[in-house]
Amino acid sequence: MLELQNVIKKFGGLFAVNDVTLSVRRGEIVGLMGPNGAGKTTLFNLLTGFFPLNSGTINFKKQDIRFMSPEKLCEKGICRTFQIVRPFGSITVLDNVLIGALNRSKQVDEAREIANENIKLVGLAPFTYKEANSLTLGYRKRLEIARALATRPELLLLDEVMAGLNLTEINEMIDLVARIRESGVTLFVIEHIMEAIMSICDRIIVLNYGSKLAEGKPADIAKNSEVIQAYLGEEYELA
Amino acid sequence: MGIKQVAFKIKWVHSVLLLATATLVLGTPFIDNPYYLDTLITILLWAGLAGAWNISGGYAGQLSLGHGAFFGIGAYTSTVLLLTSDLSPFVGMFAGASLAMLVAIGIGAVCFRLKGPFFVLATLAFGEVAHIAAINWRSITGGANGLQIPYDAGWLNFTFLSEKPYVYIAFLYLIIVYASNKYMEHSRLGYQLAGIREDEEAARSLGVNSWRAKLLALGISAFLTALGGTFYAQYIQIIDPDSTFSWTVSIQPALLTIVGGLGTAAGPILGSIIMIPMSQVIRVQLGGTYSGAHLAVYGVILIAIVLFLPRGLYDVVRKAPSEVWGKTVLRSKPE
Repeated sequence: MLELQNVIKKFGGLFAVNDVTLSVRRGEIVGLMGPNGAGKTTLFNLLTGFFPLNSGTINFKKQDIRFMSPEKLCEKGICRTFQIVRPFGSITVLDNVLIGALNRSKQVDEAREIANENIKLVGLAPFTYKEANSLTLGYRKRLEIARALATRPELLLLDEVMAGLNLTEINEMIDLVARIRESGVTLFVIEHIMEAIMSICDRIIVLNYGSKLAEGKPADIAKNSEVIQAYLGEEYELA
Repeated sequence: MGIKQVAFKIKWVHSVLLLATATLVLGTPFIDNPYYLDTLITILLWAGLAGAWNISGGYAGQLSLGHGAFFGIGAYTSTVLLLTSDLSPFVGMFAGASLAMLVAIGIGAVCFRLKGPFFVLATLAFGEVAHIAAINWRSITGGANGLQIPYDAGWLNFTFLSEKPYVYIAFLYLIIVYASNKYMEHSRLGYQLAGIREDEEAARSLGVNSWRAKLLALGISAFLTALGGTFYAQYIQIIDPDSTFSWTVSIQPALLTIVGGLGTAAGPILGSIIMIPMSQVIRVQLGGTYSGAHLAVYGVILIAIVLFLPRGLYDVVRKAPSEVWGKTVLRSKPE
């Protein structure tokens, strides 16, 4: 469904994304890992039209999406959440999600229905008429997801949705991600929380300094010595 | 969104305002004082112009200080068409409004690349350029002398002996503008603009074409402003660059809307009802010795509003005081 070939993104002399080739198949949950600064969010930005790339190809459903604008990509079926949540603060939760739903549906009433469904899906129903600014972080993250889901994406890019959540919230989020997959959405997930990413992903790709370091099943990645070195430094190699 | 559903969403404040306005207007046949009627027409016209500005300034968050250009385009287009082709101003009105809309889209396409204060400055510059063009383009606009609308009373000519028909037309204008504002609040475009106002990048990643939405809002705003321009031409019966393409026409709708309540349908009306009569009173009381004093008072009030009631006077009369203060009033209410 999503194919990246030899993608390079430079900022001046710095290779933020260095010759990365990867793919995501329909129905998968693929994880993207790597130490801070590895280029994960930059990769997401390339996929969602926020930066142009320097070279390489990106194909989504066999279409070249390299130079499409964020709104065009959303129409095509790719939607993302932001690492630092960006709710529409002074309007209600319902209106936030409604704006997302208006991507597919031109009628406000119909969009409101879709919005309500997605609000229920993420468990925000009690907050439907509350201002987005009044939500705590965990709920804001859910709002971000509901809003993205309302656009009816085929591929959902989640950027560190677990960050800043406590254990209970993380477990709830893991359940939510599973439910999202069940509803037919393919997921590409950036995550740092090991337990979470290991348990939800079918496959994990690891980046380091912009290059692909490793790729494979969660269990294999956990044992991969290069990955461990990248995260913990060279002295630590678990026997 | 059906008409009935929109009607039910009108809050009690709006009902009061509309009722008050309607009463004033309906009382018109019984009033003969031309000064009173003129004031009423002025209030209605400015409320309409403020509401028109509100569509781009309030709902789209694009604070334009160049709307005088659209007003002028409206006034001059219908007048020139009247003088050259004997075209009824009621038709010329739409020609002017369409032209204003096209110009607005052109200007927007260039200026929307600019953020925040730079956009405001660019629109200010645009307004001034239009002003200068009107003075110098003598072949079309008659230069600084302006143009005179021939007095030939009759409905087709949009010219009347008494002020009263003007009151009704101005009221109709206000209704149209108010309805457009309300539409902004409950339509797909309106919701998208709310998202753009809050966080344009986030809105774009949700599929909102912010470019198109902002251009559309500016276009509609320009269209409605130009209609007001034609009305002004037909009422005053003489137009010149200084009265139509002026600084005042650019600033005043913004001022009235901000004081009344930016981004709300009632705000522009509230602002006009309060500020226009007040400025008239000040001019009468202080005009001789302190001419221009009303502008100083405007300034003080604007500063006070911005400091203490940033959402405008409308906030004072909002139904639920417990509603949290924020930038917009867009709410889907529980049924």
